[in-house]
Amino acid sequence: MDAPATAAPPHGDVLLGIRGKDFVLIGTSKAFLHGITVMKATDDKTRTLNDHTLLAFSGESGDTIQFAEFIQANTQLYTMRHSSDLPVASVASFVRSELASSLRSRHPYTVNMLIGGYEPKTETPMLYWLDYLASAAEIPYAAHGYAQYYCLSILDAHYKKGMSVEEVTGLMRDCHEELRRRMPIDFKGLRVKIVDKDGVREVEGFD
Amino acid sequence: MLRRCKDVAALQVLHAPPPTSAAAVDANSQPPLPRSWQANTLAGNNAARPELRRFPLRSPLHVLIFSLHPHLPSTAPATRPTLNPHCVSVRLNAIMAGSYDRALSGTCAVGVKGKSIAVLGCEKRSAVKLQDTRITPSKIGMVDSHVCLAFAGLNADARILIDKARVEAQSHRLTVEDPVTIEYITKYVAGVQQKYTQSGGVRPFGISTLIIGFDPNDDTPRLYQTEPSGIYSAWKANAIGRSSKTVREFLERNFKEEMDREETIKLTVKSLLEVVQTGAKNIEIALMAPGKKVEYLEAEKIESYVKEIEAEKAAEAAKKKGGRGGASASTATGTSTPIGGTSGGVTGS
Repeated sequence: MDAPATAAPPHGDVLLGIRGKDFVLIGTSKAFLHGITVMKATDDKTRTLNDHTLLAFSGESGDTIQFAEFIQANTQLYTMRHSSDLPVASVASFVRSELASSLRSRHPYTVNMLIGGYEPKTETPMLYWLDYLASAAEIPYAAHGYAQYYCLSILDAHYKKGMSVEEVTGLMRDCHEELRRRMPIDFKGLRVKIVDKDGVREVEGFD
Repeated sequence: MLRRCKDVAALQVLHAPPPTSAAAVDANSQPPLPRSWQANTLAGNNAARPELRRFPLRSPLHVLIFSLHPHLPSTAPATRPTLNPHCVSVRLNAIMAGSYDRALSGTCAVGVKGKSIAVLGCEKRSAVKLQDTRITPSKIGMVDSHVCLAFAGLNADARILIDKARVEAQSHRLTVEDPVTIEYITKYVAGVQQKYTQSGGVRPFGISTLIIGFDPNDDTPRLYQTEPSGIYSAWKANAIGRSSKTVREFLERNFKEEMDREETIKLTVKSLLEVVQTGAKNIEIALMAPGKKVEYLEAEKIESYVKEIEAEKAAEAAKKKGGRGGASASTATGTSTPIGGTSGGVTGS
């Protein structure tokens, strides 16, 4: 089997996710890049799937939003059909299976994703890392794109189990600072969102 | 006469071989019929009568009729009665009437609009002793987070119809990035119901629906009704299902413009009590307010409304009987409409 023609090279979009004690923090770059051109400085690379699940995505523009909103529509349809939300683990499995069948089609989606979710029943936060080759893993911290090279070392060094909101926000700030200092392109700051028992909301102060 | 006509139509069906597939709707795209069958078609037998030729056996109407008789004998006799087009329409009317019967025989559902609230109430089917009412599906369902639907008629049909509406609601969000308006989704539901009166291999949905909700970024409550034929209409307050006429007449007498939350709920419960014998435990209430999630009223809350209404009715009755009824009657009435309350009390007792 040949690799898909559209094998995605590392790209300038930043996706970062950190799982804390009872929440997940997800940061995405606000620059909408077209090649090396910044088209927009207020982009939001996330979609809220249901009350407690957030999907962050990057990759081939067009593919990303199309695929993310398709996933969003289906998770919401699930909510309406069953009067309860699709669990985070099931969302991740669903996304992976959709991506896996897409990968084996004539025109696969090239989308990399992070799924951050909080399971209200078991009170557990979850962070899934998925790439366009349809691999998926539940991990404590995750990154996509060039952000991986700059941030994973910081996260390796400083991540601890059961961190509080303040600690994780501080860690995200360190990653932000590192990216700002080292990345050759201006990613226009991070849009950071927290997912916890109260749902999804934005955290300010990452410009 | 009518009866005979129906019989002829039914006979017609019995003599015809069963349809090969439900897709055989379009007369133009139909492959040629088998020779043995062709000889028996009306077109063959009545070459001299062009008006009958317009009703060959492959018309959509026939497919509809066939679909209702799945176990037809496939042997075609040598002689067959001629088909009067009128019979087909009578048979079709009978089918539609059947769907309406089913829609009318389901338990009652009521919808009432207030100032900035929309309420759906329905009569729960009385459960058998061992049935788990807590998790038995309800007659009120959500189509989208801002659209609530109640139905009267066949539960299984409703499940399919609601699911189609849910898919359309999400599909609409996906394509135009906006939630559906209540009118749009009503039109869609009615459209589906209409389609099932016309296409082959299906029977109409045996349900009427009431759809309530608020359009995106709008505080005006909406209430629509759809029927098995595909008719839809907007209402201030309406009832569907068994004894819906009684309830509608009650609503006509007691509806007021610009009712607040409490008044709207109370009117809904009161109108349902006209036909629900067993009181609060067989009533279900769903509320919608602009920008909020749907709210299902708890059993205790409904119970308290029922008690309040019954106290009012009793007070009214006492007042009527004893002329100047005394202090209790004047304290109990409060906000309710005296005229409606009285007549309600009379019919209820």
